[in-house]
Amino acid sequence: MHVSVNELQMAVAKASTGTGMPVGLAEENAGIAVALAAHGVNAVAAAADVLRSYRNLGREQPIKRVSASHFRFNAGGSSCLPAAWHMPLACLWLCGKVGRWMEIRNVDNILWVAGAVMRASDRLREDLAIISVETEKPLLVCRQGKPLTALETLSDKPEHAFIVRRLAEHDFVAAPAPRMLDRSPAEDGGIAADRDDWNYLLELGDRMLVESSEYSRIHGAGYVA
Amino acid sequence: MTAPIDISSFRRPPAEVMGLKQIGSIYPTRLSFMRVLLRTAISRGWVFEPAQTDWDEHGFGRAIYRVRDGGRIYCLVAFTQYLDPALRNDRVIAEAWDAAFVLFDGEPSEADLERLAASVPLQEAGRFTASELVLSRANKSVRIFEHAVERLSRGEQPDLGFLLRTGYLMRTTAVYGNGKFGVADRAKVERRPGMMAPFQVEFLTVLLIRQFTVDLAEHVARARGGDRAVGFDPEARRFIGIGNSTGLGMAPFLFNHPALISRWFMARETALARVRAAGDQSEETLLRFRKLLERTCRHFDQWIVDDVAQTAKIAQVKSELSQLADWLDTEDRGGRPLLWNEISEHAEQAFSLDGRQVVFSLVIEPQGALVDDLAEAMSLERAPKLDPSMRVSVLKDILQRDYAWALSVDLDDPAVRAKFWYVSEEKREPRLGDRHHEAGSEKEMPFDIVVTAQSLSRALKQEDEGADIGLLLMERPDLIHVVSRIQTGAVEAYAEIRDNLIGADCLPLDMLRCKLAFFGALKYDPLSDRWLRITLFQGAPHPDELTADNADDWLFPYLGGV
Repeated sequence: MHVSVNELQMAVAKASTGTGMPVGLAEENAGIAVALAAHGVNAVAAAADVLRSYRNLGREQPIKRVSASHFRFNAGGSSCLPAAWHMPLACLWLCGKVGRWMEIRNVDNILWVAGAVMRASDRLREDLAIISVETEKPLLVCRQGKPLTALETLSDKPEHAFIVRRLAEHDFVAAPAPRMLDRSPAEDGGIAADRDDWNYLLELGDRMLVESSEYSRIHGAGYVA
Repeated sequence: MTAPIDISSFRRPPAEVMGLKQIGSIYPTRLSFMRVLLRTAISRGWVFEPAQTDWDEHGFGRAIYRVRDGGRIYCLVAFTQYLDPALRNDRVIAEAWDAAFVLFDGEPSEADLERLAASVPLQEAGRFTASELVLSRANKSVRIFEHAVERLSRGEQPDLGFLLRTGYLMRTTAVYGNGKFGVADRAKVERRPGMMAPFQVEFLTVLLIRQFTVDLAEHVARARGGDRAVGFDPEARRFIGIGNSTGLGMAPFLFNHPALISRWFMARETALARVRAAGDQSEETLLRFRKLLERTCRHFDQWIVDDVAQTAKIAQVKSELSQLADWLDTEDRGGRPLLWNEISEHAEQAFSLDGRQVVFSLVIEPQGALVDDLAEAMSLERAPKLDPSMRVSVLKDILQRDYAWALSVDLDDPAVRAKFWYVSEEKREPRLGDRHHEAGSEKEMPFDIVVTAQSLSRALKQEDEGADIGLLLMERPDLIHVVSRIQTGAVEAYAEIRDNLIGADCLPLDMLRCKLAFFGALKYDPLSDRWLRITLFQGAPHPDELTADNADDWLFPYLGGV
């Protein structure tokens, strides 16, 4: 099936609130989904994955403030770090002040990290990089919100830990032109979605619906027949 | 090139404009989206082709209405069916309608038409593609439709009094665009010349539906009456609008799109400020204004509703318009440099909220050359982004400056938090609940700005003045939403409705009326405090009679004068 960009945005926002997230954070996640979809990622699958994971993991993974400008997410934690909760917040913090950087370990979905970093790069109008701790090489560079390398390949990276920070001189990569879809999903027939993933998002969103009562039917909509 | 006009001292500040009662009193202007659409139709030379109909004697079947905009085609495909009267329901919970519509982007193939025939009548239960731009449905106003058909079939015209009371043959109960149920996102059309202003594809759809309703009635009349049958007289035909039933579903839009709403109000307030500062005061324009005033008085004479409060408002405005006419006659207006400002000030000082807004619409109306360019600024491609680097001190200042109205509310007063907005399980319909009598407030929509603004204020007091907001939000994700709104309001001045939307005295009708006025709707007919009927395109030329002369002169029409 195909869904529209607006449907994706609404569904992820509602599904996120359905997991108990505050509205603002839910909207950040919706923005991440839209950013990923604009660059060819199966955003419905990614959103379903991170929200499923968040519901399983909760939010209580250890975060260590190493210094004023350095956070370590999942410091020493054995379980996965749920990207849906932590990555939007981490990237808001990252954008708060020049010089900040963060280490992220054992995250549940690296694509969601990429989406959050793309949004942060767009906010800052600066280059941001996701860098492997092991190889010290950039896994992804975002230039003013746009990834310079194919996002899909990120899923294949075995890296367990990486750093997100502003791009430094020595990180420079011979970057190809920013990779965008030839046409945005909105102009190109919408976003392909697996029906089960989509239904999962809708089901989560439905958790925010309020059961109708006779009182609400009569008074809530104010309809006079 | 003319020098820019300094309008800063004439533009009303948000505090004066954005109260709930204030926004709920506005009326359409020449910047309303339906007006913009017809100007576009003329300026771009749209060609409306005669309908291609395949209807039986009852009018059941299919019709296609084509519009050509240069090399581009838009097609309204309409499906009509028999509807059991017991199933005819204007509420969003209905599952069948007299007619269902889709605006198709381009020329549908036979395969497309087969697909649409299966899915369009299902509406929300169907699934659509990016080839479809707008989805809609309508029900007959049975008494007036049948009356009109019967009269026309006998070679007679409908009773004008009857027509006057209703004003339309059918009413739409929903018009869905921007990606709903899989139809194309607005992004698909927002950069197309002629479609940049808000809701243009939606109102193209509604314009064509209006034409469809008239064609359908005339068709059924011909089938019934044969050679005796006649069509509508031009005057009656022009007066027939398209009805719409609107409930709470429309209200969240105003809250959920603060930056966009700000653009709408900015355009409107800028238009008014331009006119007050430098409106054309030629004899011709003054004469036009007087004629408009006269026409508006007639319009209000013909605006008849059951609702007591609305009836009182109508009577009040009629009296005020009459006063304005007298005031214009008795005062010496010759040689005064700021006549439009004087008229506006007079309305502000002496008239009701509705009265002054009608006057604002009227003073703007003859000044197209001065204000029509503002329509282009009413859309929004990208909303402002949350800025985590903002210092705590700066956010505090903005909060104090723009949200003093929210910070001063006493949250301990039960009436302040009496209501909550939610989406009901029953077909996902927004509703307004009573916090003290109903369950579900833990799932409320975030309309409680008075609460969250105060929560933010308390949090900011604990923070270092020089700290960035990103640091705070990492600890307090519950504040992201309100911070984002406040920052949006700092760059988009009219973004926030400056009233408590969960208070006992919140009247949702005000929100509905506000949006409907921007659409260009008239004849508000409240059926409760959160449900109303309105008329769209009443008095506007139909596509087959649209000319440069008539496309832009139908504000406050009346039967007998359109």
